[in-house]
Amino acid sequence: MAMMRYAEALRSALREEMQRDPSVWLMGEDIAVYGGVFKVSKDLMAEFGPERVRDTPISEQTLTAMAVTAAMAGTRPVLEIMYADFLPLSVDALMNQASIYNYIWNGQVSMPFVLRTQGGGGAGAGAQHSKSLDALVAHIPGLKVVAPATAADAKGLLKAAIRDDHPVIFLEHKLLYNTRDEVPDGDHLVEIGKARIAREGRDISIIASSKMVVDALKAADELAKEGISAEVVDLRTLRPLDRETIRASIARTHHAVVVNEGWRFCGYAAELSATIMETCFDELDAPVERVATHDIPIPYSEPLESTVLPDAAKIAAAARRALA
Amino acid sequence: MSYEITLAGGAGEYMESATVVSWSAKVGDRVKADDVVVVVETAKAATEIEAGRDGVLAAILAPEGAEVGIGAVLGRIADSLAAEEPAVAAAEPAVAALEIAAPKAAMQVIDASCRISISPLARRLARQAGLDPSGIAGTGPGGRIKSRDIERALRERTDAVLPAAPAAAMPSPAVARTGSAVPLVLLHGFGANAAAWNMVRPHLDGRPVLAPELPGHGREAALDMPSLEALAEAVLGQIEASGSSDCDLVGHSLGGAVAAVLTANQSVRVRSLTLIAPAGLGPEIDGAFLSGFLSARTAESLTPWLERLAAAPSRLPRGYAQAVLRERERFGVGAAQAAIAQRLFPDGTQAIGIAADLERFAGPLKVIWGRGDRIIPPSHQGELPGHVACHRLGGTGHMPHIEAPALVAQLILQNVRSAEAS
Amino acid sequence: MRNSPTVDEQLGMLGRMVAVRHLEERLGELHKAGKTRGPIHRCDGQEAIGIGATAMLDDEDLLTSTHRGHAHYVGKGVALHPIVAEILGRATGACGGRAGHMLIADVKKGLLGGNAIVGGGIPAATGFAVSLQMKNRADGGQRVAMCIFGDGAAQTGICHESMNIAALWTLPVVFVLEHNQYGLTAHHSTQSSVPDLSVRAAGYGMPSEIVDGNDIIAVHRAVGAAVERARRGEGPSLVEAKTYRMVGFSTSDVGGYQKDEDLALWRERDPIVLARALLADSVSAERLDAVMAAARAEVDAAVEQALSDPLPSFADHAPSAPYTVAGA
Repeated sequence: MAMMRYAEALRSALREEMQRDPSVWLMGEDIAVYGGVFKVSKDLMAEFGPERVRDTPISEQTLTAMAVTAAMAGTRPVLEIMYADFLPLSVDALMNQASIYNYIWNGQVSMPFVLRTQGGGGAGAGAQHSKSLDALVAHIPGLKVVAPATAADAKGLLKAAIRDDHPVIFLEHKLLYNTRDEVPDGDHLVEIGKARIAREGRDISIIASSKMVVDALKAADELAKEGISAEVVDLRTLRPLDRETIRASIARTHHAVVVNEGWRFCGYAAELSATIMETCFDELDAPVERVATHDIPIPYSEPLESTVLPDAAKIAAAARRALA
Repeated sequence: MSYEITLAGGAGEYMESATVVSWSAKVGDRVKADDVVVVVETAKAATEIEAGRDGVLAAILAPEGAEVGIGAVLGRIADSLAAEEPAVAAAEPAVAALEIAAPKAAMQVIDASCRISISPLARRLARQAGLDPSGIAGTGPGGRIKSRDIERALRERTDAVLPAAPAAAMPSPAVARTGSAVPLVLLHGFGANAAAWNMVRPHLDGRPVLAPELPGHGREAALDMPSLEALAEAVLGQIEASGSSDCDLVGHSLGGAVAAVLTANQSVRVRSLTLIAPAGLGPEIDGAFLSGFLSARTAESLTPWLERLAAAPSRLPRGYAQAVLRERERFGVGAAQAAIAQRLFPDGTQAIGIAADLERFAGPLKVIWGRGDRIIPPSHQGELPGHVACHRLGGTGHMPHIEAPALVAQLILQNVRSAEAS
Repeated sequence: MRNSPTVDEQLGMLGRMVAVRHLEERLGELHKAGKTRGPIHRCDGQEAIGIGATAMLDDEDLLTSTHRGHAHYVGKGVALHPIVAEILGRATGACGGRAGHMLIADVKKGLLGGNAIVGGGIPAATGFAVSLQMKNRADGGQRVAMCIFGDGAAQTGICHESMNIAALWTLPVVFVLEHNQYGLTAHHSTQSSVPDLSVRAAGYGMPSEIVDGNDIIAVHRAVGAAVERARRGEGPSLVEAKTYRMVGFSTSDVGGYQKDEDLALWRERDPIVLARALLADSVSAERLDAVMAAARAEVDAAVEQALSDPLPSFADHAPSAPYTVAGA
């Protein structure tokens, strides 16, 4: 085990996979010489050269489409999109290209690329640099979508994503890059599609991903002071969704709060809520409570932004409502 | 007719919930449409909510301090308090009598409007327990029935069904007297309570019954030093308190051992003795059951142990595990029972013996055992003295009085009549 | 002249052009008879580009096409029967009936593939070229990517982004602009600020050439030179082949916006007539008739077989899918 920051864990995953497999290469804006605006790819160009660590023009739509076909033609690109807010530029390549080929071409091709990006609010980055667009990508069939909350999962899932033969959208969070965590030594892989129980509890299941897991754990601490034992389910993978872990948790607690940092309306939390209804309706002792971002652009000033975003207090309040 | 006072989303566009700060009217007060009746507070601001129409505040559903979600019903306004009653149909009996087809349709409408609010889990639990949820009061938001309400209802049913039903008002221990007839004293086993005899009692020919509870069981306080003799002493006190000088004694399991010890007492004469799977006839007892039973904290972990008590677990009362857990919660009997087990059954071994007591007892004596008993082996019956009548019941486990109550009652009465005849 | 096809190569290309034309005509009939689904985008009159530009490509070279790609499919070597069966929605189609006529792909032939998001093939070919460049550098190969796209696609933002990156990274990709004058119903003069789109190549530092897209020899020479340049690792080129769409945008186009005199003019410049004329001196009329008849017969046989082929049964994922629908 080594204590590592989330960003370092990602870099270590990239380095190990590039050492292991010469077909793995990186591209993105400011990732090579500068090492990425969040320094995830720091020093990698020096180690692997400018052909495998490429700075690109500001051309997200084309870069994403190129990742799709480069992957089809035998290499394993890892594309960094600097902010999740730029994902709408990538959507044609994801929705009309990457998503369709394996199925439409009857299994003739695979597309082993990873699109890394980071989203999330709380840093005062404003309406075009603070969004969580989990639902936008998780909506698209044929994509895998992961959103690790810890450094250990960040490393294990990124290594697994790079080795996966299908497109993986890898969602990071700007406020997690400096969080520290024990990361297992060696070839640490985390299976895509498996949630984990971040904290065991009896009374209510809080289902979250990415930074919302951190907030959910804080909420669980608060609730514990009131005698409420909250279980926190860290989804880790948003698609394919680990329905069984969710179901089993709610079968124990009979109450659920679903949390996602994306917009509330038609958001990822809504999918979780529907999934719970479909898989364990008869286990519910109260309506599922949903915590998500208000359906407005994310404002800049601190009191405005914190009003809009989900946090531990809002999660705890939702848990209390569910248990009323 | 009544109208709902609701928490509208407009009180704060992004409000997810609010706290009820104060009601400015009491139930029964007349209110006008624009009167502020309730104030709620969100994270950012307090919001006053008006009555919305003239009438009487008929119900407050969200008391002060309650956290409520958007759209929640906070209370109800009625034209008058009486309007809350379903008086509409009764008001026009002549019309209803003429329109023969109408009542059925009207009933359906009323049923729809009275659709109960119940969580999916509570609905499932009620269905499994054969419980009609419509009569259960919900304690969730807006009166929704939650699983805890079903559990409470099951507990009440268990309490109501198991203890002496005909004289529900009678305090425990319940004695029903007919003249100066000698009472049947029924002593329950380890971890049970007087309700254990509920299945047998209807078959006892209306004889007076006294069902004391062992210390640390049911509502009885625990003893500091729970020896077998001390348990017998405590039970004797309850029999003496009933004013009886004679009794027919029945005991199950640990209660059987207590009954055997009681035969030697000097103040109440024991005419007949019927023991069901009594403790104290050999060293073996299912230690795993004892520790599992005592350490289980949830219905899920307790149920598998309770199922060991019966040959056919489906014959055990519904909600049994919940009832046991509630009793521990309400009366704190868990620790007392652990202390009894520690003293009488240390390390899963029976450290008590009643052979000498039985040897001395001269009255009619029966010992009943379920062939499928997994708690105390039926082979202990083989160690009994020759004057004891032994009954082996097929298809039953450690609880013949629950699995075959009519037969057990019949054997008890045979023993009692035998004592009366001599 | 460099990159001029031999007589045998010309005969082969003539046969393929005739096959494509006959395929379009048969599809028009089948569409009217209700045997096809959805719109069909025919390439009548544009066959010289699809056939001529792909003639020098190998199976390891990767081609991206458009929604009007039947000549590209045939030119890249995909057999007629799987194309026809795919268009007729049969289990025996190139993609098992899942793709339809606009999205056909054949990995073994390096066709990847049709693309009905206008402009979608341009970054796709550019992305292929990155991988091919890395593989070429690793094993000394000379693989290239090619994108055939239209004048409508040339107006997209990804066209600009892709050509910039292709030139910036010296990628082995050839951009073949099949300029058929119309983006759906809109004439290029209403869509582009310049009549000759190849002038834009200079903005990327990329060589370009304009050719008569109905002259298959001219197309073959110009594209052949661009492919050779890409194989040498010297980077991308743009070839603008001028042609004209002789039919509506699709079978659902009611027309009325193409001038009769333009149609008459381009009909005289039919690429098949021109290609046959160029062979008249060296090949007998009987042999030319036989080549053309054989091509038509091959199409008719493919249609006949496909019409009797089974329809596909539904499966919610491909055998190599990332996950099943149930697991999504």
